[in-house]
Amino acid sequence: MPAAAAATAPGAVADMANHQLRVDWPACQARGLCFELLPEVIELDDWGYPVVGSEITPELLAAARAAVRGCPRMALRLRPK
Amino acid sequence: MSTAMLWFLNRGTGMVLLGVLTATVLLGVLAARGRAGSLLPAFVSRSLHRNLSLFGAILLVAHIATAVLDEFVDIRWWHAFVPYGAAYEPWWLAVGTLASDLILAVLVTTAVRGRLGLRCWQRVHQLAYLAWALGLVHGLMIGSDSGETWALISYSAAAGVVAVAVLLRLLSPTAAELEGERV
Amino acid sequence: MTAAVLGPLGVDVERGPAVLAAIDSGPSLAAHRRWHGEPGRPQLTPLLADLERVGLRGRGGAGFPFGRKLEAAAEASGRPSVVVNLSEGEPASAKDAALARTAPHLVLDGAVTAARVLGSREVHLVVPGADLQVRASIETAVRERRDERIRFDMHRADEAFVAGQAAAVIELMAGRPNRPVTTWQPAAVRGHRGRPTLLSNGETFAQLALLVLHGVDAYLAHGTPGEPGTALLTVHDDLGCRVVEAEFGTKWEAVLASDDVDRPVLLGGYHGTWADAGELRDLTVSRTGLADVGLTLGAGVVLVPDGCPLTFAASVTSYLADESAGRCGPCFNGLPALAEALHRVTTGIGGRGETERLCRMVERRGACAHPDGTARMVRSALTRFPAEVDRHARGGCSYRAGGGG
Repeated sequence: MPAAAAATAPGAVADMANHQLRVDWPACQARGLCFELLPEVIELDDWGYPVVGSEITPELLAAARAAVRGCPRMALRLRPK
Repeated sequence: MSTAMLWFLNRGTGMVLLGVLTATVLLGVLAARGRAGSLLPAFVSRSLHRNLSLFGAILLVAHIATAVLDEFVDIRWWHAFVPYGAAYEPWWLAVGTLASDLILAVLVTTAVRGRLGLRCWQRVHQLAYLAWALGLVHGLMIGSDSGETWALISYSAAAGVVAVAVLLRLLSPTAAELEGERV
Repeated sequence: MTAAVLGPLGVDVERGPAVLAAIDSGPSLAAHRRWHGEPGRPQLTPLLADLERVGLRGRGGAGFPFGRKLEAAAEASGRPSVVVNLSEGEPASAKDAALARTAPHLVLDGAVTAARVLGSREVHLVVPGADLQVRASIETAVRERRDERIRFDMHRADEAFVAGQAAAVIELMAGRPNRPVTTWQPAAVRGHRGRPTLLSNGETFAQLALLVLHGVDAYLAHGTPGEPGTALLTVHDDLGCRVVEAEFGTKWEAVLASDDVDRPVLLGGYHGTWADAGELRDLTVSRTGLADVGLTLGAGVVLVPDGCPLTFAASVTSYLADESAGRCGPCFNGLPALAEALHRVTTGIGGRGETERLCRMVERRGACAHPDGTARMVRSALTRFPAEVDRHARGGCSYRAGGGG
């Protein structure tokens, strides 16, 4: 943790905040597209439902948006943290 | 452009449309099956479904345009949208018009999917089956090549693969359903 | 010794210091007014200040500051609605049913006050559909208030554990199945018909009414300086089930039957946490005091199980797994797996690591708090009774020698 914190230089791209990926659980039916499109953040649990790992950093924002668009159940939302 | 050329183009685009729309429907039918990591990665089959449908839309515009521009048969531009009142093969032309109207509805609702909500979008999207079936009937009944063996084989093959895919989908549960019945 | 009024289905309701102070004179509006008087018509800003001063928190389990909820509903755009949630999904909780039967007008005074402060003329009352007595009592109370310019709407909740969750209640009010859905904004901002909705449980509104009827000083006279006021508790022990009102700061010894503090106690209901035997001896009825040692008061359910707490926890987990609405995959699949793993722990065939892993896997992965609450209860059973877990792993149980069964 401290290493990761130190890696972020102060003042570097501070205007782009982290985002959070939220799942609409009743809508999700374990199709797994989000896992294919965003393996950096999403894992699948024992039953194929997404486990959202970390927050979405600015570098991953485009991939996260693609995952949101790609979900056939429209069960993902990206919210500013 | 010569009338003969337009007529050839119209028949050609019609036959290609049969293939493209059938493939689109196939990918759509099979998309809801299985889970991540089966046959094709789901995002590959999904983008293929999407891109094929867009290609189909372009072909459809060409198909309709050549039919309207061609002066050998009397088809007006508004017959592209209103399934009524054509002089040439009024019934089977209307069937085709209806199919293209439905395809338009499916395309438009998909473009604004985020604002519609899942349920509404899904209901309209299921009309794609009807559109495909109407398109097939339209081609079979109005097409000037429909008597040819190769054309009949194409139509039957298209109907066959979609029927098999739909059966497969109905028989095999989705990933979520594999875990049991859901409310 | 206090007189006991017969509450819902054989639950004893004991007269208390504030909320349950007037129950002996009956539930009528006239009796209520004789004891409590007429509520004033507070303005929003001073009421918020008073709420801040007495630190009133929601009594449905989550303990969110009520003033902040009221303020959010007042600030959000649209005309707010007020919803009194009397449908205790938790079958072990009987306090809102007891309130509805013994002091319905205290609840309604709170709801009407909230509605007037928010400039709303409608109050929704969500009652447990299966409890005819509660429904009848609320219907009678509403009829007595016909001349007030407030519209009361009754809604009957399903008899299901998750039916009492806020989002499920709002679904019910919209005419859809009484089950939780995903919400992207709190109900206070966007709830019933997309409008701001002040949704709290019955006791919370009764507490609000006390504050408005008797003033801040009277409210501060009970409890401790840090935690003023009282709390309703549903106590299950060898004596049966009773609803009692305890001032914050009361020793648990005074609440429970004589030696029950020396037994394991489940605090906060089926979604609550376990206190080890004797742990409550040094503790009081206090949200913060309990939170300091990792315990929760939840909606005020206090269960003293007869027999092995680990086995009890396992059967509660099975029940909670059955009560999953089945809408969210991780809950629908995870809770039965979790129940199974905990059952293996109690029968001594491993499962401990698996139980902990499944707790992590279901947490924060549902539309409502059901998986989180279940994981909380299971995890606290494992951490509070490590010796018992070891004994079960060796095929034993410290409670079996006593009476079997």
